[in-house]
Amino acid sequence: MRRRAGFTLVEVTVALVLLSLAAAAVIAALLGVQRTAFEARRLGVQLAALENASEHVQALRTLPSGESSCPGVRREDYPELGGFRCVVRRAPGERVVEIALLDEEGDVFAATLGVLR
Amino acid sequence: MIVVLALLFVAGPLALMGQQQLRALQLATAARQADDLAWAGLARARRGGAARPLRLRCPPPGDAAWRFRSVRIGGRLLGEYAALPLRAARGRAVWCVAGRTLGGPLNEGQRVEVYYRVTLDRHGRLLRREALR
Repeated sequence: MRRRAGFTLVEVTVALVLLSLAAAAVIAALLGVQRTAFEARRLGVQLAALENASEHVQALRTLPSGESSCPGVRREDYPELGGFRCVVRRAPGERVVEIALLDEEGDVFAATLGVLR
Repeated sequence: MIVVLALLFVAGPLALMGQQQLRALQLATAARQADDLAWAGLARARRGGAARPLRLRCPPPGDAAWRFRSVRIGGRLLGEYAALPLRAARGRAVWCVAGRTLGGPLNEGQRVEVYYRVTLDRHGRLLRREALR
């Protein structure tokens, strides 16, 4: 039997293609992981902002008239949310307010209801 | 080759973990909204002093007797609430309250329902709260 001198061109090409495919798959998976982690971080911060606003609203004595900014929620404490605004508005009902996080265009991207004590 | 394979085996579980964490946070957001909807519904219903209630016990969760009303914030659906008064001893008020999210964009796509039976004293302070199931 003849002893092999090395790899053929076909073998090398196939190996390189397989390797690059696998590398692409790894990169795609890692990008997915990064995107999910980013999204989770943002969601956690968003929930924290809503909960903090809700806690501070509970301590209010008087209902806000019209729309006012949330008590105890400062924009610089939540850099992950970008240029958002937190507003409380009077909602129908006894001592009920709506708490909304607005983006730069003024659209609501997160909201909940709060009840004054 | 081995390095790439090893990375694939790392990236898979990492992606899965990330997905699960994301889902947990989405559920936490929706659960908070459902709870807030229930309490806001109670505060809203207590304002209207209706006739003496006849109902003796809460309907089971998901029953048609819960008449849900929807809440919109900034034109987007937040969820629904329901509050039914029960017949109670003098000086007490007992309510069946419920809140649920419908999986809209404000709820991060998650549906969560909460049902409570709450007892209040004559000043509206919470005495007791049980989850219904």
